[in-house]
Amino acid sequence: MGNAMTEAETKTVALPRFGTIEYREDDMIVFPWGLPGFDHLKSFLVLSLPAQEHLVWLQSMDDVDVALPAADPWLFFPSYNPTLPAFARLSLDLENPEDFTVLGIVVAPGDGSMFMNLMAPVIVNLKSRVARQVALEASGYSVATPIPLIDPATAQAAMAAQAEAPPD
Amino acid sequence: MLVLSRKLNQSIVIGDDVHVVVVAIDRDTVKLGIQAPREIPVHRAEVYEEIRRANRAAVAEDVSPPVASGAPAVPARLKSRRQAPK
Repeated sequence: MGNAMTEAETKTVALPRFGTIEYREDDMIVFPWGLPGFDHLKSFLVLSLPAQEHLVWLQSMDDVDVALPAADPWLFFPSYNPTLPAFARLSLDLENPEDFTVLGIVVAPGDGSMFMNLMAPVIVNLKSRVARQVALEASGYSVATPIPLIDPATAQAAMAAQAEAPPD
Repeated sequence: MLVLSRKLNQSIVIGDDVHVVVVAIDRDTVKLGIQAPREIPVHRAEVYEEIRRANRAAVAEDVSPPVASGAPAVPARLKSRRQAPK
């Protein structure tokens, strides 16, 4: 800890789910207000696995056992139209649409079904790397919106076909 | 916990700038008006509880890697959305 680290310097962390990961300080995002249910966890690394191209993982750096899958909600719900409340825009300092991204946390109960929390998306300011899960209370969106999925057999076949296909 | 009695149209102040006023009382329902600075989120407690439960459910119980084989995880490149916050 004694040596001064520049932002670009690569660090490594051993994670129970993902093994040893190389990352940089500016790959992290911070939830200053915590994540509901995990209010004490502030620092997260956003990870992606080449085998899961639609998902990212919010990996806690404060408790390495905590990792939440998330995805771009518009991949599955093209008409999703969240209206961010004033507190979100003010606290995250959102001015330009280019400054931020939106992630929906994914619940996979293990029976093949998947759900996305469209009622409380995670908003990330890409410049400051500050994030907040924002409740859209009166939006009518559910915390467990079923993600339309193709059946596992079709998914397997599609993945196999993709693996065999020559890169574009 | 501080417990206060309030009548219709009476209010309480939390901090310097959060005002809560009893707008209507109807049997077992109390309607509250809340005036707070724009940067302060105000939600029904059940909404927060619902989000907490969903987040805990999202942390899958199985601690095994999400894919047994394949290339390792790498920091994701997050891209911005074009959707403007309204």
